[in-house]
Amino acid sequence: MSAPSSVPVNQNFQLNITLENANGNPKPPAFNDFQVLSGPNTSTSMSWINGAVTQSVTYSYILKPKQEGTFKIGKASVVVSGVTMESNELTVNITKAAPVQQQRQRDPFDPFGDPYGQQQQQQPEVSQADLAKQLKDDVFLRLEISKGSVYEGEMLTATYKLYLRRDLAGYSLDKAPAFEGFWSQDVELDPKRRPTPETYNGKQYQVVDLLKYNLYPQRSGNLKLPAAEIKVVAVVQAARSRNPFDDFFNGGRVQQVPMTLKSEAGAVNVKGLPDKDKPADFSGAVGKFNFETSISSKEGKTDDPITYTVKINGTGNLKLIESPAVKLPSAFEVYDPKTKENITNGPAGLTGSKQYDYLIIPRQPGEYKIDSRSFSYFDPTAAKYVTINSPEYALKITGAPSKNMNTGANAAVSKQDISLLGQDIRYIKTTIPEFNKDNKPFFGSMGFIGMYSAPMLLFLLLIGLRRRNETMAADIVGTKRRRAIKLAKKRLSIADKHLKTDDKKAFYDEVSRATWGYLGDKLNIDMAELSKDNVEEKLQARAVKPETITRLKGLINTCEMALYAPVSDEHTEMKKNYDTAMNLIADLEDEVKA
Amino acid sequence: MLLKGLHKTMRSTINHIMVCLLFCTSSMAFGQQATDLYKSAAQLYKTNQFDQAAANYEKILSQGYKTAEVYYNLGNCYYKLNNLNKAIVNYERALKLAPQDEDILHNLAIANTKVVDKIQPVPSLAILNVWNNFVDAKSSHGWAVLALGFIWLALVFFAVYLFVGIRKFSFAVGITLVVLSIAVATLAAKQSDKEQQSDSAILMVSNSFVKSAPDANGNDLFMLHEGVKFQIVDRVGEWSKIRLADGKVGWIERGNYEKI
Repeated sequence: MSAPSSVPVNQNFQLNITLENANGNPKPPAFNDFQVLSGPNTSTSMSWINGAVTQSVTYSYILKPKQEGTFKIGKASVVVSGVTMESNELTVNITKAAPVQQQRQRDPFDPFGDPYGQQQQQQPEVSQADLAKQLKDDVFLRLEISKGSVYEGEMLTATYKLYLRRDLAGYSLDKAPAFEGFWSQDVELDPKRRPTPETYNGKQYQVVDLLKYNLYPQRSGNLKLPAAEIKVVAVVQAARSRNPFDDFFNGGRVQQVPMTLKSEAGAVNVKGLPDKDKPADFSGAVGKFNFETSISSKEGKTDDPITYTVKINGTGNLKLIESPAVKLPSAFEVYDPKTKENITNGPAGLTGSKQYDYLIIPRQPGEYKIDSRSFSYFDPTAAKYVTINSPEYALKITGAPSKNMNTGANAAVSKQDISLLGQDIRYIKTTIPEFNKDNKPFFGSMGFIGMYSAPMLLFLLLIGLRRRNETMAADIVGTKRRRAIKLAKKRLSIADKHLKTDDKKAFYDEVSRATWGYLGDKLNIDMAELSKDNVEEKLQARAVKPETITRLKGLINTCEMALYAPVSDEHTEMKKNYDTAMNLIADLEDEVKA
Repeated sequence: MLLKGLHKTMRSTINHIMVCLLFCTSSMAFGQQATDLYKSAAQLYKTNQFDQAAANYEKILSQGYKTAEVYYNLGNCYYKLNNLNKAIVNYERALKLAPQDEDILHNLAIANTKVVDKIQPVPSLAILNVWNNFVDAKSSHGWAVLALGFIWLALVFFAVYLFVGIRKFSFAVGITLVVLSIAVATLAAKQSDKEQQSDSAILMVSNSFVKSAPDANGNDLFMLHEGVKFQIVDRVGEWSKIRLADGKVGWIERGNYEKI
């Protein structure tokens, strides 16, 4: 416990209870003779003094004297780990009021600003600002970079070190540096670390690491490392001051100088990863790694799950590595992998392993293989890409195809299927078919072509036939004439016989008879009524040509007369008369209108 | 002269007839054997001896008697023996010969429910379906016979036109019948084409990857399972380009399928 020994009645003072290298809440003594303006205010500090590290917690109270006089302040006590500790007792002499001089604005909460509450006056000879300038070379912060040139993704370490030729009463870090373009990992420093001696620019310093970071550059180029800023309080030999109490109460002529230390900024040249020989499956892993795969079993049944494990371990930017794609035959259902990470961050960087467990379920029986996988990374020390291949796995799956499939080209069960569910196939056909090796189709076969062209030919034939009929029918006259002559010949057929036998009487009889018979038939006259006149009349009525009638009359006469008038050539005569008779009958046939 | 020619024609005709008779009798003999095989196969099937019945039907086919009944029955045998892809192949062959047969359609549908890949065919125009159904109503043989019928009927009407009279009517009918006959003949030709060519196939292995190129190292596009039907579109070496009913195309090794 400490406080100034003498305080003017019109001034406030600060009482400090300091607990060193221990944790606890001290119980303050009774402040009966003083007014407590504020407290307890806590402040922590670490000091390195003469190579010794001390951690202390100070509980301070601002007290105002009530009256002049000498007063005792009792012991403060604290219980630490079951043991009670007591502080010293204090005596404070409250004197009469002192002239109020330029009061330095004193922040009662500033643990470093004037802990003994005595420095109300300006330091006359040497100001703290001047002191700070002088101490620039004795206390400074330096940024140390492990490697000035790295590959993208390769780790480097940035250490902010404190170089001391003076003792420090404490430090505070207001803002942690931000590393743009890097992925940073804090490196835990040993809290009991001790400064080490180092020569820098010809001078001996005690150096201690303040902040350490492992940095992984995320892009290439010239990346900047920020300067760090910390506030420290240096402990120096004090200049002589007017106030003799200062010397006395400032702990043996030492002075505390608050300083703001700023390191210089740094820069790192980050090389991009080479494109030459970059493996196709490289996805950004930089460091040194191992790649392994394993499978829970090589045989199984459909719907039984199998675990396919992919493990990457090593040192490097492990946390940035992603799970490698796993390609499996479509008969397998693959689920997103379960990731197991076991990574520690040490001074050498991130070390550990990342394990991906893939759950795969085969839905189809058969023999499949899981292709070999490859993993590529860039080794910055060797400055080349490394590819590791995993082995191929042959899987044998037995069993019926899974009912709950959702793999395959199409898995929708059609409505048709549902309607056919449970139905069995129909029975075989029992009627015996005709077995003929008739491989050639009917259409296009010779038979078909024949049967198809036949009607066409017939059609042509029919046309020809009809033509002929028509031509014949057109020839009416000829036809009629032929008919008529046929008829005539028929009538005279007996006469013709007699002509041949040269039977004159019979011949002329017959000619006569045939002629009269024809006329009777043609003109519808009874035999009894036939006479030359009748006939002539009727013939004229029927528009027969007059000459034909004359000829007829001539013939009749000839027939009557021929029996009595012998001629020289009977046969020729008979023939002549035969022809006449024939023509005559034919003509009559033609001419007599029906 | 005319008589001599007539004589010759008679001679050759007689020869033709003799040959035909011989042919007919010999084929009748084989036909008889096939009938026996068919009958005994039916017996075997009845007593559930499916593999032996199948052997009989295969024998009939190997002798060249390819009828829808035999293919259908063989399909049944294979189905009972759980040989899905062979069942489907034979049902499809039967269907080709008898496209409207209900038994074949039914059994094929049931067999297809067991095919793992359910392929949704590309939907076609309704009117196209109507047309196809109409054309498929008869085989090429059926349409050919109908075409013949029409043309002979046309002849009758033309004869009437020529000789009997009712000129305008009979002529018109005759012409219509000729047109009909030609139209039907084209249908017969179309069906005949369809029956002749064989570009559909069934996958015969339990599963097969369809690749993007005719190469064993090509990308796997998708997987097919036994019994699925597809069309053969092209061929390069040992590989064939196939098209599924839903339009997907890819390459597959020739040994993996059998044509219908």
